[in-house]
Amino acid sequence: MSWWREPPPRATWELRLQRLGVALLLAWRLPALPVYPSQPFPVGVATWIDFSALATPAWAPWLTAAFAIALVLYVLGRAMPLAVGVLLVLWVGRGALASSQGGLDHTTQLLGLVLLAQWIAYLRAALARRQGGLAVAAGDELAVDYSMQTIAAAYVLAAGMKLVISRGGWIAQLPYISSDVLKLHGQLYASLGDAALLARGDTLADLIWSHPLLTQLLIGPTWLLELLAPLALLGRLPALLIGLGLLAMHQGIDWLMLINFRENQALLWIYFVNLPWLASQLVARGRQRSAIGAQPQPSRADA
Amino acid sequence: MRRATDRRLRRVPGALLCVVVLLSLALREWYPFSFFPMYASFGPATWHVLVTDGDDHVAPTALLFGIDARPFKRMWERRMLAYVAAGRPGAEAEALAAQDLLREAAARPVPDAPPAPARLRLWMITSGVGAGGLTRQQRLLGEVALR
Repeated sequence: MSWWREPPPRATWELRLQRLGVALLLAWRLPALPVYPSQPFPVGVATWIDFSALATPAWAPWLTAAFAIALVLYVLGRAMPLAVGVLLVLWVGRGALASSQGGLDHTTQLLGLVLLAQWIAYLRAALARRQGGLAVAAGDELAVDYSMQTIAAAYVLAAGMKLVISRGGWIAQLPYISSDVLKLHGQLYASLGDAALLARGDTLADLIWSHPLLTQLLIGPTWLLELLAPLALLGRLPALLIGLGLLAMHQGIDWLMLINFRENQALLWIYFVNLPWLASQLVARGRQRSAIGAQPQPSRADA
Repeated sequence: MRRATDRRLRRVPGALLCVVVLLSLALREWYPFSFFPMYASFGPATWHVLVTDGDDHVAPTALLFGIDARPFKRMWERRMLAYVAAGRPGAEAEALAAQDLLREAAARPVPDAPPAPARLRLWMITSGVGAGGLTRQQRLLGEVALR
C-alpha cells in the first residue's frame, strides 16, 4: 500500500500547471481585495505588523512590480522561498488589512494558510538541498502535499465546529437556514441595491421553511463531506471525488446563500480535482480510443 | 517525494493536517488562522444592516463605499462594542458607532462611485422564521448629515 504513504510522483508539467493555477488565482483575487489606509481593529498577524503601508500610494508601483516578479518566479519554479514569501506577505498583509476594519471576512484565510504551508515546504526543501542530493521537484511535491493537507484541515475544522457550536444539532437546525437565506439576500440587496434579490430570498427561504425534511436530506450530507475531506490525501481518485463533492457543496451554497468562496473553490480545482492531471487523463484516453479506431479491423474471412 | 529519494523530507501522512487543526483551534480567529465557525449553527432570527439616504431609499454600500454589507455589519458591531466597553449606554453606543462608520465609509475614495447622499441612515434589519412564516423588521441605528 505504498500509495497510502506516498502518492505517485507528479509530472513536472503537472506541478508547473498547478503553480500556474495558483498564480492566476492570486493575480485575479489580490487586486480585488479592498484597500484601507489604516487598520483600526487589527486582527491576528496585523496585531504584530502594521500592514497599512501596503495601501500607501507611493508604494503601489513597487508592490505591483514585486507581485508580478514573484508570480513569474513562482510559475517558473525559481527562487521559490523568496517568491512564495513575497506572495505570502502581500496576500496575508492585504487580507489582514481588510479584516482589520472591524469586520473579519473568511474568504481570504485558506489561500493565506496554503501559501504559508507552501513557504514552509519550499524552505524545508531549500535547506535540505543545501546539504546536497535533493531533486528540485521535491520542494514542489512537498508544497502540493502541504497545500492539500491544509485545505483538508480547513474543511475538517468547519465540520468539527458545526458539531461543537450547534451541540450536535446542526442537521436538526437546518430548516432555520431560512433566516440566514433572508439575511444574505438582504445583505446583497444592501450592497448592490437590486430589489429582485429580496424577492429571490423570500422565495427560497419560504421553500426551505415549508420543506424542513427535504432541506435536511439535501444539505445534511455536506457535513459528512467536509468531515471526510482528509480522504483526499489518499490518492488522486479520492482527491478528485472529494474535490468534486466539495465543489458541488460550494455551488449549492453560492446558489442558495449567495456566498462565493472563490479562493476555496479555485484551490479545490487545482489541488483536489487537479485539473492538469484530469485533462491529461482525458487526452490520453482520447488518444487511446483513436489509436484503437485507426487499427485495421480483421475481415470476416480472417475471423 | 519517492522520486526525491531523500528521507529528510519524508512525509508523515496527515501530520500537517493535525498541526493546522490543533493550531487553528488554539488560535481561533487569529488571522490568517481561523477555526471556521461560519454557519455552524442556525437560529430562528438573524440580522444585517442596510444604509439608506434621507428619503429611506437604499444606498448600496458596495457601489457607494466599496464595502459589502456583510463586513459593514461587523464593522458597525465592532465600533458599537468599543463604545459599550468605553461605558456608553446601548442606544447611544449604537448611534455613535453608526455615525462613525457612515462618516468613514463616505470619506473612502472609491473610483467611479456616485456621490454619497447628503444624509445617510443605518438600519438594523432582523430576518426570521416562525409559525407565521417569514418575518422582517427594521430599526434605525443612527444617521448622519454629510452636507
